[in-house]
Amino acid sequence: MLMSTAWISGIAGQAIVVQDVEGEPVYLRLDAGSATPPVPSSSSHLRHLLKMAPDLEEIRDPGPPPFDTVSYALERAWRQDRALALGLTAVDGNMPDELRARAAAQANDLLADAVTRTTVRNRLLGTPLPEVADLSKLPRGTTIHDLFAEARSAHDRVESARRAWHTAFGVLFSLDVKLSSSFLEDVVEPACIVRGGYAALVDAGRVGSSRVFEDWLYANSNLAPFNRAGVTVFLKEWHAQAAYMQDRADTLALRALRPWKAPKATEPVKRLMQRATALAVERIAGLTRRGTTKPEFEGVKKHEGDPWGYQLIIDCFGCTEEICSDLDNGYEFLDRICEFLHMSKQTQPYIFKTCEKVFPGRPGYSGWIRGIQIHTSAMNRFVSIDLYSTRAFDQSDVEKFVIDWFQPEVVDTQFFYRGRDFLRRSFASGPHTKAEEIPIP
Amino acid sequence: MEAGRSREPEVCASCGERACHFAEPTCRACGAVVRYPPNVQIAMDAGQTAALERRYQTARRSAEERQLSALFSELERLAAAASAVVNVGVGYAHHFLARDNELYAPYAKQVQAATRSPAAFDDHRRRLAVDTAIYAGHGSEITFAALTADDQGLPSYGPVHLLLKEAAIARRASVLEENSFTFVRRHNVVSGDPPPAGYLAIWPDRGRLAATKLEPSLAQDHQPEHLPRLLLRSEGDRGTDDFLEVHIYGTFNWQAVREVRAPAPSRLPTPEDRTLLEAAEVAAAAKSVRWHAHEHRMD
Repeated sequence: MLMSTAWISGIAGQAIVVQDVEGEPVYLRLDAGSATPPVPSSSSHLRHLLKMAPDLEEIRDPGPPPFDTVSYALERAWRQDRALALGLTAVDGNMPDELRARAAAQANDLLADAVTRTTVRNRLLGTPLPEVADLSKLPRGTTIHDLFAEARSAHDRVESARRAWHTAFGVLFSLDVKLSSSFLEDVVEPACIVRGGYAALVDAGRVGSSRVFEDWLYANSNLAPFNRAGVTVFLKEWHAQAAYMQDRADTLALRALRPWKAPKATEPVKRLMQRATALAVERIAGLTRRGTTKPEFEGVKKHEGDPWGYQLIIDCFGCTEEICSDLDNGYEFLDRICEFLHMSKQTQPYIFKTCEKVFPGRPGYSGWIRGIQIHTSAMNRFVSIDLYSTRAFDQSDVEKFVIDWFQPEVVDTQFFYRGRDFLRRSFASGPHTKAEEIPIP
Repeated sequence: MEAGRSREPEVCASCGERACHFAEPTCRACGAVVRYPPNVQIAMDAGQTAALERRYQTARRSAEERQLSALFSELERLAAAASAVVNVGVGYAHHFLARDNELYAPYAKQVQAATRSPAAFDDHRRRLAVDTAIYAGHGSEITFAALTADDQGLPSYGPVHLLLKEAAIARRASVLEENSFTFVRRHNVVSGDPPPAGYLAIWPDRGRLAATKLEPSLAQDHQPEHLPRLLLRSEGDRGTDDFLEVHIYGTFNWQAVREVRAPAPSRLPTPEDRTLLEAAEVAAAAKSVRWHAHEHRMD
């Protein structure tokens, strides 16, 4: 006798229920978003679903028609698939703007559901978000924006989790269970992603404690027979990966500055080393502490009477406590403001939570990237920002950018020219021209 | 070497070792491709081809007796130039076209992201393994498509039709006279026993197989434009779909797709799917995959 089973695919937007009727399988189909009762289906339809759908979910013994459990699971799976697919469309820079904006709005509507939101977050934190993802069409303050911004800011932690997972995967499982490696890789790992294993790792990295991940592992031990020794090995590996990546970033960044200065290297070898190093640095661009050495000199023409730089100080009063405490939002701000001001970043943003020991009960954070600093005080609902650039910028545009980002009730700004008329007043030795090219900080 | 016509060499041309492992398409010594895939080898079997030839000659004589030779020949010509089509839903079409690395894969490789238990999966897989009844242990490697002469697929499987390039499948495709579930049931094929011969053809012989199958359906009042509908009949219901099933060994990606035919987005029931279909079209254009908006004919 066959056990009644339902197969559900969010991508297909369909579920097939197989029931045993007097020893013969009877196939019924449910469609997502359809109020009609299950319709007759066939074995070939089930085969098509099994072959085609990469997101199949199974419910055993789904009960009698109209299969409410299956309908609910199908609707949920459909929402999760469409929310993620639409979200990825919204950040795809190759798509038309109107389509991206529409996709973002539709994804955001679907994400109003908490279960959908959690699953999409799990999926986004399961794979490092591609560098090319363009978040500019995601409306600020929306769920879809927050999820993708988090995925972007957690890029390094996700990568670290992924490497650790792959390196230490086998030891997570009891040795007496005969599971093939392909089953581990093709089934267990994706299931761990969907169920939030990677997201738990990322959260563990964020709060600096492995407890979050350990809790997740034990809560999901029914997924696969995790064993305690395996978890310990995995966590050790995970920490080693994080340290390794940071160390590697430092090493490669240092090498980037030096290799072609090696005295004994021939010219072709030097060129090869330069190219290899540039590639390596590019690959770890998100991780380097000291930053890349850009092969091309970027500069800005300065003319007589021009100042050296421009400084804008913006004080934001009445921001929400959540915004003042949201490190990811601050990180994203530092990342995006550089692009907005056309500054080369040279490094990743640095952001630190206000020290609890030194300032107990006064949450907030401080961060900086190149000539930009930010400090927040959640208790005072205050954000202070200093921007300094040698490239001229439109003050009102920057103010608008900041207001959109932090949503303050009141803004106070001050603007300064730095190094006024520096060409005429320069103390540099030797001749200088009236138009001089200087590096952009 | 013409696809699917001649026997493979017994010696690997790459390393000189004897390629002695029946049905394996690659040399175990060096990994070079030395044979046609197992499904094509089975369709090339002398017993299969001789039985198909007998059925074909019988059908041709019958057509002559019924004074339908011209129509029979036209049907054979049409089917010999027919394409393979796979139908999918909008969600999957977007998934397949918008991602560079996505494969249209047999389910043995598609267990990803599932939260199901492997034992239950295997139960159903065995029950559905009619492909195993035909191709033994290689059945799980088979991907299914339908044969079409007018680029219309089977909308009962999804509104988006993926038409495959001949070059992408000719060497690894075989054609069965009907849906394999119907075939196995009709002929009482039991796993382990050889399936009846004469119903399976290599890709270049699809015209002969189609003409053989459909000869009894030909009638004096049929016009050539009716013939594509004989080859593939679909009323949007899987129970009544009638078509020749194309079996492709292995998987394929978007590069195997010659053209996508899809309904206008406005015909889709949800705004989310309309957006995803538009996104799939943009992704297809970026990959230079032809996109054709159409309404499916109802038979």
